[in-house]
Amino acid sequence: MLSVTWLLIAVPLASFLVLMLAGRRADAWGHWLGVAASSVVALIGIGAFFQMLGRDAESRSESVRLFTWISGGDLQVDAGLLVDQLSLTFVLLVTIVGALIHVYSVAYMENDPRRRMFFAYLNLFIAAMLLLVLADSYLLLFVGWEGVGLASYLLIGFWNHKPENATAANKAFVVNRTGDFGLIVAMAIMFTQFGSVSFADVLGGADGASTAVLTAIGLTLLLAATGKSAQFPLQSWLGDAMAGPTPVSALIHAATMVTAGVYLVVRSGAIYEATDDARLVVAIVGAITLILGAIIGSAKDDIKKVLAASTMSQIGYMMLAAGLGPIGYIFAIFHLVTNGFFKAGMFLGAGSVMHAMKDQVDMRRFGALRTAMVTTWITFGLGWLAILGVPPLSGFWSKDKIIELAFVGEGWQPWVFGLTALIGAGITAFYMSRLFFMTFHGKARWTDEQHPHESPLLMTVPMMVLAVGSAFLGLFLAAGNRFQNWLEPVTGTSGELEPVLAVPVLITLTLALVAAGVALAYWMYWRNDVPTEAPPPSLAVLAARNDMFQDSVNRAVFQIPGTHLTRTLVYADAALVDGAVNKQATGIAAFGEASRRFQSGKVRSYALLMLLGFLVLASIIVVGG
Amino acid sequence: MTYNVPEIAWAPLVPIIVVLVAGAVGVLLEAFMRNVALRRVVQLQLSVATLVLALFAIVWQWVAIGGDGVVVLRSMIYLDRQALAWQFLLVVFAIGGVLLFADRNREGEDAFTPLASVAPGSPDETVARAKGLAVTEAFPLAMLATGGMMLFASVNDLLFLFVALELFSLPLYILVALSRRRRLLSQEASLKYFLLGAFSSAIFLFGAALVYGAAETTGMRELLGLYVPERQTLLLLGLFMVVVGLLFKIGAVPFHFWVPDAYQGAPSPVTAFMAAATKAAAVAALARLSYLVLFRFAWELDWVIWTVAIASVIFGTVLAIVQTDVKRMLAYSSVAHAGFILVGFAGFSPLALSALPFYLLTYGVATLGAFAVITQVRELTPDGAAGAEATRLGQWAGLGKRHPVLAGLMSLFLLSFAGIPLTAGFVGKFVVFRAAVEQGAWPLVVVAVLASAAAAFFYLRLVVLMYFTDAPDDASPRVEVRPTGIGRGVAIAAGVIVLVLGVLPAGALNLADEAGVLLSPPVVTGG
Amino acid sequence: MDILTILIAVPAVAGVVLLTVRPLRAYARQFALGVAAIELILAVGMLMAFDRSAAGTIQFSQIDSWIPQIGASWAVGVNGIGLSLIMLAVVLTPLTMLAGWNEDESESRRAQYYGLMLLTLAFTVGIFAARDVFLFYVLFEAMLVPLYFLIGSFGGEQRRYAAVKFLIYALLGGLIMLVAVIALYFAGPGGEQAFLTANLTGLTYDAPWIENLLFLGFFIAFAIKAPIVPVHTWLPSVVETARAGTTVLLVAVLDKVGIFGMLTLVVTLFPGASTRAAPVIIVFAVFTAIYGALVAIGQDNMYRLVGFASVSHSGVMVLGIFAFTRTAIEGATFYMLSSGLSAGALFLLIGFLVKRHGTASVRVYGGLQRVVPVFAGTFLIVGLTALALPGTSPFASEIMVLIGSYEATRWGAIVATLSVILAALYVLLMYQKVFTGPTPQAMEPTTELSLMERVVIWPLIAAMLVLGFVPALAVDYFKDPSAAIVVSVEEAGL
Repeated sequence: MLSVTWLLIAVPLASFLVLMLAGRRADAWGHWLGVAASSVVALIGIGAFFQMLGRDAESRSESVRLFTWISGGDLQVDAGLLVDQLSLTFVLLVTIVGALIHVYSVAYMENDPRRRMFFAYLNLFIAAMLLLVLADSYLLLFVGWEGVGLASYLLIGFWNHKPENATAANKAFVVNRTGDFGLIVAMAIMFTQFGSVSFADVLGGADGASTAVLTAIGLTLLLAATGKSAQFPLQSWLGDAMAGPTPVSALIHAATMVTAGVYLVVRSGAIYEATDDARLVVAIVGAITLILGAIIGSAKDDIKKVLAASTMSQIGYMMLAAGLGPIGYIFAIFHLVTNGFFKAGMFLGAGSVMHAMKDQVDMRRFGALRTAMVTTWITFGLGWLAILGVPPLSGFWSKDKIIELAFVGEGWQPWVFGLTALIGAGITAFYMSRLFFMTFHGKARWTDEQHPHESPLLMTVPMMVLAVGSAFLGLFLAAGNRFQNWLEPVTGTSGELEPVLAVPVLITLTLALVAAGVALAYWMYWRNDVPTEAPPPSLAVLAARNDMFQDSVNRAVFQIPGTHLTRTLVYADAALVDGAVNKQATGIAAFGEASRRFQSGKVRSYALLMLLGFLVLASIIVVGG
Repeated sequence: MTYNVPEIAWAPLVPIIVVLVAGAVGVLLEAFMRNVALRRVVQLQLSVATLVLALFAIVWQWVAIGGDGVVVLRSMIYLDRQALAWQFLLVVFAIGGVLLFADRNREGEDAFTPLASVAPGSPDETVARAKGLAVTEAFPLAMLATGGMMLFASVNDLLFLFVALELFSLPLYILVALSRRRRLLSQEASLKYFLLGAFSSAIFLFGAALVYGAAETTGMRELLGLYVPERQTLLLLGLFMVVVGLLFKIGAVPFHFWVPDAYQGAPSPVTAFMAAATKAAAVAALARLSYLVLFRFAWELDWVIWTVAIASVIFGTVLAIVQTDVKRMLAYSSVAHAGFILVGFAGFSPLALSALPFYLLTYGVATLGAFAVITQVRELTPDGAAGAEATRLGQWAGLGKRHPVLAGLMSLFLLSFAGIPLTAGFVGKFVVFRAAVEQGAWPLVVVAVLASAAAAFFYLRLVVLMYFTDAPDDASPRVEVRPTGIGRGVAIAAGVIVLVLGVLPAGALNLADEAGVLLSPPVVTGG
Repeated sequence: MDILTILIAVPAVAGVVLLTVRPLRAYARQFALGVAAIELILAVGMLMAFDRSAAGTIQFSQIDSWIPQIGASWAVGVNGIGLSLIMLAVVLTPLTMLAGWNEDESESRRAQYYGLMLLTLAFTVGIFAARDVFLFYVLFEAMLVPLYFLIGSFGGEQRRYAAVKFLIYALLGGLIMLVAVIALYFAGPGGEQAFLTANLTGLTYDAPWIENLLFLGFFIAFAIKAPIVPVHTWLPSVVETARAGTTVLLVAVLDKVGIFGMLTLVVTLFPGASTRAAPVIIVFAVFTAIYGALVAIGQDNMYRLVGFASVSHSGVMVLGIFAFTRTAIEGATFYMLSSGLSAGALFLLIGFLVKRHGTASVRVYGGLQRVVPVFAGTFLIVGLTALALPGTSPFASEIMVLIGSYEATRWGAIVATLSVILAALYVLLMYQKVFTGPTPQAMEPTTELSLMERVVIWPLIAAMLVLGFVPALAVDYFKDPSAAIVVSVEEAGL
């Protein structure tokens, strides 16, 4: 199986190329090619998984070298793939969720004239994402890393005839690039320190490096991760990214790409192991983001933006977990997988709702959709319960475990992180319930031309599959510590950990808070009428609605000074640098004009000047000689 | 008291004598030949034939005297390969100049006034023109000037040098005044040139006297052996004054004031001849003086060369930039070139002795070519006949589109002036600058190259005008190229030489190397 | 005659013939393209014959006496670096000729344009092949003449100003270099082959300041050509007004002469001074990388934008060279190729746009993606190469420079890396303004990329992708030469 691993990348890439180059000829069948490609890789992924299961836990990690990629001076980078439990977990998540979303998109994008291109981009994304997780070096990972960024850019801007969509696409790419800056610097440090950027050399050599270097690598990698995973302070792009078609939001901006940051941190575990400072920063970033996302999610009326905020927040949980060490890695990935399912499912549900409501995204215009779209209601409901962490659904096994882990440690950290995670769970319950109730319950607030109807099977079947995953995957993986045992060979173990509060107490507290959040939402958005226009907000709500002013901050800190800087430079380049050159030219001409006065045309003045020149030179000779 | 008849080695003087005799014959022809048309033809053929003969004589002498050189006429004239090289250049320039003198347009008009002795604009002038008179004295005058210059390049004695100076200067003063058009301007230029020339000659002569006072000899070779050390200041002052006389002829700042007026006022063929030949002759003399005498006082005199060189390149360049007349622009360019030439003298590197003739060759050929082109660009009179030369820069707009060959040649000469590689001018600059750098005068070279970057601006402005600018439709008077056989031929020949010297200069540089040795001075010690 | 001499002579003679023989004018394009094709075939033949295992040694070497009196020889030969850049030139030239195929102009002007192009090609090949400092200098300066005419005769309204500015800038640098060239003669062994690069390598100087001054004389000329800030202002003026074909040759190929000169002349001849100057130069280089990118962001004119982008790229290349690590130098060399291909393709595409709508101002455009999707896609891909998207050759080269120079200059590398973010901004903002958003009425009739245009651009994209995935195809040619440079610098540093 290992020998065909490269097909995981090659198949969707080939499909992408065919779809691009075939042009309009492929319009009729292009989407099916896309589906086929993603299905094939899903099958290969599953095949690889079963093959790996057949081996001992210790010998499951394998790498395959494809060819020498970059060989520049001392920098030797092979194009090589690393197939181990961690990467295969991602492969499965990406290919299975990806295949489902491909199927869903066939129907969702049916009326779009550029559906073929959409599938091409989706395939490109699959290829890049698989390259990202399968790469055996940071540099090759970076190719996938930017590749998914490109796919994300293309898909966010898929309807870029709307200027705001094009802007959103640009914003996503540029913010991601800011993160990528970190990754490049990290690689530069690695290369200088270890002479290599492969996982084997860098992670294997981490013991020998100084803490300062490792902290630097850890922090720069974290910068990359915050960009890709929309973590504080590079979170601002994700909300705008919802401009893309909803399947994209489901696949890229909820289930897979945005979790790449978590993958990067977990993959670089050996580095974070050795540097407490960097790890602490990871945890802090995660904690800030999970609260930030939750608050933003509570104030948004756009269904997709709520889900985006929720994604941010959930990844914040993962980051927090990843900042807690090896056991945290496992549950970060665990939550990443379950979140992949329920979040993708809910996005598809949201897409289904939009499909029914003529692309309306304002939840204040929904309500009482339960009856009109039963399948969507049920599948969405399962996702809702899962994210709430209601036992025994998936979220309970992953998220609550993270909350538990956050309470582990000494000093102030467990209390701060733990309480943050706990409160976050309560707010999550509130805003997800708010979303669910505003959409499916309460009074219908539709406009006249909207006639909600259930989506076709091509859309609902993927939603059902994901709903099943949302419901039972967590239980299945948690049972007998299956997932933990599976990943431990890669991440390592931390032994038994005791939270500062007893586990049953924590579970009770969490569930109580969740219940309170649901109740509040029920009271506000189901029992009471929801106004179709947003009421004038309090300051807090205003802040949350505006993404905690992140864009304003960005604008004030980067954009406006940046614009001024570029404008000033453009002006200065023309006026000062170039101006100096032109000034010099005019200066010479002016000098010439001035000198011209000596050439008066009068022979006596010529003679006088000659004599003058002669006398000056001669007197110097006489005096000097 | 017995009078020893000096033994004179006549053979080495043949080239000079041939040219001077032809000049004398020409004067006689002027007196006795009545038929203007015939006289013109005879004068032209006599001049060209003589000059070609002189070339052969020079080559003959080059081979004959070998690398050593010969003392002629006691120690008045020393003929060595350096002198012969300069003579060769001068004769080549003279051939080009004389050919241009003879050039006539379709209306049969040459560049000279039909009768120089009548007042401009007077009825007599009209009559003279109607009668088809012509000033064929130009040919013998040019021959006399050429002979004088050849002598100038070979003379060892300061007094004799003065004689040669006057011998070639006086004909030039007259030639400058002979323009067919814009006669007032021409005569004014001639007068200025004459007055300032006389002034500089006086300085020269005074300098020679001071030198005699310090060393009791005016022979360059003897000077160093004979001068009295206590009178060194006197000697230096005298030498400096002699140098000033030469710098005047070279056209270096601050002795350059005559240059723009004379260049502009003189008939273009005369300007061409004068620009190329005068500068070469003066440089030849300065080179001889430098490497026989001045090098000993390098410490005391080097700064003069530096100062004048820098002043020349800078003023020449910036003044050229603001000119609006092609001939004046080239005049200031020649001032800048005087500066470049002087850079070669900095430090008195032996390399300069071969570099300078080569430089002057490249400069002279390009100058002849450029003025040959200028003679063909004409304002048209209302009835469509060729009028005065169109020398305002703006009048050259769009020439490149209408006359690509001519404009191409002009561009080539301009690029050569600017010192762009693959033209002769570049190789010339290179060897001269190399001589300076060898003596550590690189700061001077840096100033010079900075100036030549700025100089490229005005050379290229003309190129821009010719190629990148469209001619105004309503230009009045209309400007047209009136190609003439000889002018075109001279320009093309010059163009070929410029290219060959630029791309494959090895042969010419070889000859220059051979010319780079002066006859070693006899050591004469004071009694 | 040896292959390199032929490679120089063919376009030179053809160019002169085209400029002078009138009957040929009617077939100027076909003739020029034919010559360029022959040139390409010859060059490919040379590439095949090149011994890659000895890429560090000069091959196809020919040394003949030229001007022995001043020590100048006709010495040509290439190592892997020179060969690659010659390939870049001969590949881009026919493509640019094709790109300007349908330009509407008179026969004589067309003949002039193509004749000058051929001359420029001849000089370019000569420069990359020159193994004699004097020969290099002569070609370096003489090349300005055809370029001057190309810029001044063909293009927009400001072309005269641009041509003069270009020339004065280049001459200024070149003439200062001339002084250094002459001085180098006296520092070297002298004789009839005084200027052979081989004879001038490894010289010892009486005092460091002599080497420093010589270094400076050469460096300034190349800095102007590269160009790096603050001597860059000729570039935007030129690219704004020149014809796309001229711009491509100028920015994609000839600017590389500056970098090439730094690499093969400056650092090789003056390793000691280069080491001493490196800290200062790196500051300039990094400043250039950032400055160019920032100013590019603020441009409205697309030509200027890409011009400033390539200024920024030049900064990265210079950083790579003066970091003196093998990785960085190989990266910088590779970047010359990559950035040449990328900037070339981008200029050509902008040229296609300008041909359709007569302006390079982004403000005028909008929403073209809906109208001409293939054009948009092609533009985007090329744009992505310009921002060094992984998988393309600019990425592979840029990353080599950035990663490779960190060891030598930590902050230099980090700050230069910021240009990666800025690159995303200027490329994507341009794409956004031109191709996305609502389509203005005036843009509706835009025609799709023609077959000819595809033939021109797509090979360039393919080349960048192939080199991006298998950089070894190019980098193998740089390994030995780069290693030699590092060794010489290290020896000088001891």
